Amino acid sequence: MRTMCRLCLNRCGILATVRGGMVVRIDGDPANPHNQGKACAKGRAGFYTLFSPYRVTGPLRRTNPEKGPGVDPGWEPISWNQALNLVAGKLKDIGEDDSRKLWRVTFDRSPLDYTWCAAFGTSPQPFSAGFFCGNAVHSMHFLNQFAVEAVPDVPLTQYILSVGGQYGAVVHYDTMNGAFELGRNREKIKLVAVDPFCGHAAGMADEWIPIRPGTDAAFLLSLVHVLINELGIYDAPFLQCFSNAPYLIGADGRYVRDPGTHKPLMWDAAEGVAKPFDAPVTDPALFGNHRVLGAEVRPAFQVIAERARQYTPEEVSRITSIPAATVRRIAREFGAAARVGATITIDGEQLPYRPASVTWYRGLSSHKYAFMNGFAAMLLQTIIGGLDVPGGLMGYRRAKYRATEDGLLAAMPHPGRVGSGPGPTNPYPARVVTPPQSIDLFELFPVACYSRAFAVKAILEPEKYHAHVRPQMLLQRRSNMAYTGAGREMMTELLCKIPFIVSFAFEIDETAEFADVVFPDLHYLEQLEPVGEGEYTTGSQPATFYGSKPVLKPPFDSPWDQLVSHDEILLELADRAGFLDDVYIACNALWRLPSDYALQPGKRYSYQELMDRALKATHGADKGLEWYVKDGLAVKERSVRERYPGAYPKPRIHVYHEYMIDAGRQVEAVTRELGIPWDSSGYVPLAEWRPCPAHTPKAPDFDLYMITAKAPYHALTATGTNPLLNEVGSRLGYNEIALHRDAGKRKGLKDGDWVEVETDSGKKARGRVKLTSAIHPEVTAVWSSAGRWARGATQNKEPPGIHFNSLLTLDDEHMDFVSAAVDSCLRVKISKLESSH
Amino acid sequence: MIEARIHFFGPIRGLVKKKEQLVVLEEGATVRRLLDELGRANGAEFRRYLVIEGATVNPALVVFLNGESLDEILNLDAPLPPGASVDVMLASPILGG
Repeated sequence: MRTMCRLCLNRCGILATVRGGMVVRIDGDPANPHNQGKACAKGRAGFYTLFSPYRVTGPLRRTNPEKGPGVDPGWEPISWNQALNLVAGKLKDIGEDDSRKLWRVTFDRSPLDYTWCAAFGTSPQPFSAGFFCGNAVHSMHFLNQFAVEAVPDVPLTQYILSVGGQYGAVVHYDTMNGAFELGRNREKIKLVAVDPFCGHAAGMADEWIPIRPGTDAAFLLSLVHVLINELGIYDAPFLQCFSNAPYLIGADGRYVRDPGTHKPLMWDAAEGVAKPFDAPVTDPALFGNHRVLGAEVRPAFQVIAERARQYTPEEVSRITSIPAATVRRIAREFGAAARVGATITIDGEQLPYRPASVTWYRGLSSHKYAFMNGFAAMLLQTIIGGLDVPGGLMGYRRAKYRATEDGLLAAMPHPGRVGSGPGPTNPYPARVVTPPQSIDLFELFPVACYSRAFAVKAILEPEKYHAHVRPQMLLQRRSNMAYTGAGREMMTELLCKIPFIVSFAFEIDETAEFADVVFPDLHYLEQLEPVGEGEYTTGSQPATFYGSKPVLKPPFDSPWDQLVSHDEILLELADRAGFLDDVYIACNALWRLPSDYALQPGKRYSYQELMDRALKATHGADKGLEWYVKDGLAVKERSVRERYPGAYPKPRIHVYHEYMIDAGRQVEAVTRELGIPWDSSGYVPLAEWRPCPAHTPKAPDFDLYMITAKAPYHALTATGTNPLLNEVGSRLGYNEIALHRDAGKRKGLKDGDWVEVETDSGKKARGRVKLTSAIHPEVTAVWSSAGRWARGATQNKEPPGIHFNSLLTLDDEHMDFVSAAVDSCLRVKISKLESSH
Repeated sequence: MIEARIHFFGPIRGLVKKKEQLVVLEEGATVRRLLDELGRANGAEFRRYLVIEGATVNPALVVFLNGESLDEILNLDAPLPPGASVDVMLASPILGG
């Protein structure tokens, strides 16, 4: 049976083999180009979780009002009817009070999640995924690529600079394609990994450059400096015609505008005169100082070039620990590989060819100044003209775009994608700042793609943050927020403040331990979810549509063993709480169902019928549920224009972020008006490097940085229920603390020694040391997804390791007030213990 | 007269305290006129959220007119079509990490 792996973001197309009513084998679907017909070891082992002895198979109600890690909830089995009525009653009460007080948290959005929430009056959130993940990523790609994410154009690229990410090695949207294309093109691609830790991606790279944590922006800006100021490598025609690089900037950092039309001005070097950006300009100047309207002004690119001079390789070597010669060499290699000015012919069309890309992820996001890190990375890629052109950095999950009055590209919201909201949360034009209305204070983050970490602050200190919308109910599924959030202690405090918690749980994990009512969740091999994320179009791959199909029934009592999606429970709750008609209205509007398929309020539709209508509306009348169950794979080649939109004229993109100035002023004004303590100093129009708190240790004996890294054998927390993968992790040292051999020698430590780790904020943990040369000498690392503590879950048999997030501090010093990122580079000291006790 | 039916979706519903609203406007009324009316009818907090400057609505709000984004229509001074259906919601923070 053709179906979809749901263990990580890549969502591979898979084939499940069933014998005697059991799944006995999982393989990649050879017809699915998105994952190149392959499945990873995690995916192939996915069916082992079906046998979990800890599986929840019926609704449970808590009898012990006391909550906390290790506290017995006193579960009492209740009927489905009781559970549904109990939860529906609470929903009704909240709906009549203020719908925003329902906090819907899910990482794995199902087809109806968004419309169900829209109809109730709230929105779904993945919560901790937004603490330190895409904070430096999504906004940048929305801004310059009208896309949520981007990956290198691997078949055509020749140089990949991977900074703070593990492209092709760990959970991501394009892992399988990346891994196989990198392998296939090994000889012609140079992959350089810049990372404090030589993780699995760096281990397979051509070169690993260890960098001091939290200094990536300095390194990237130094590359910009060398390219512009030393080598003169930048795509001048592209920057002149398709970016705001020639817009003139005044002394106040703002665009210089035409007094009559208010349009930004450029300097025409051919005529020696300033003209509006949309006037015929023969030679838009990128450099120089000019006198316009009685004032000295400079093109934005001149400002960038001057600012970049601060980041000489020699100065940056001091910040990053990377030798100056290496910085210059990487800049030379990147610049040469970019082949600025080159073209390539694809399908008869001549296109720019820029076979070099920088790719970045969590390593740039999990810092105090995450937004600036993203600016720096995007600037490097933009100055070579390497966005969405052959060989360059390819956006995917694209939005539509428009030109603003300033001639700049702005991603647009659009309905019609089943399963997703109207998004996107584009940084430009910045949202207007208003007093907080959302649980996560989103109104105070006008350029961020989300602000979920600030929900922790708002819930724990509502008066301080003027947070009058306080969650009265948490409805949570596939987002183990007690574990993945702000650390065990803080999340316990937070969850205890929410009066009523409902979990959809496969096992009683760290979050379900806090639930008042638990509904059993389906395994992904039991689900029918055809439309969760729509088409997959990473890189220059074809557009591929497929989804989850049930190969087994869940082990629930009849008739609930017929469930194929947790959305059916949501629909039942909506019906009992009196808002099912609103769900239909929301489906009609947000899925853009044409009149033939529109849902009629007052009627009742099965989940299968809803999916049938959604499928037909999206894919055509012959591709309803019957087609989906029988086949369910649609592969559509994309035209050159669809694959490489960067090669065609479109509105200008940003190298200079003027909108940040106004956004910052608005934030400052509103927070001052409300008396909310806030740091708006990060709203600057150009990338800069600023040190993280860890760069100033509170005492000299805190001599190491501590970071976390993803391993390929776990997919966030989703695979913690798999005993095989847990065993692999244990054997490979998943529960150990990686430390450089020199640091170990200095501290008298050897492999396997027990140590105490203490952060300079006073948080402590214990673990065993693994000495290695594959880490920066000043750094120690633990693996993400380690340190689980739930008793009623599979991983309770494993040596736990260190729970990294419990060492974090979510205070003003460690949070980015622009991107809402949580700084997760810690300063620690390590001391030897005589034993684990 | 033009009748426009406005649906409020998502958290914005908590702000305006209603699911939908019927607005009756004079013949030839524009999108801007409709938004002004919505702002007037739904209190200061919502008005502050809405903010119409020139041809732009606060990007925090996503407004669809007969299924088409206002960002796409661009011209707030275009007349409303008869029987207009208007969906108002908040921009949706993205799903992934």
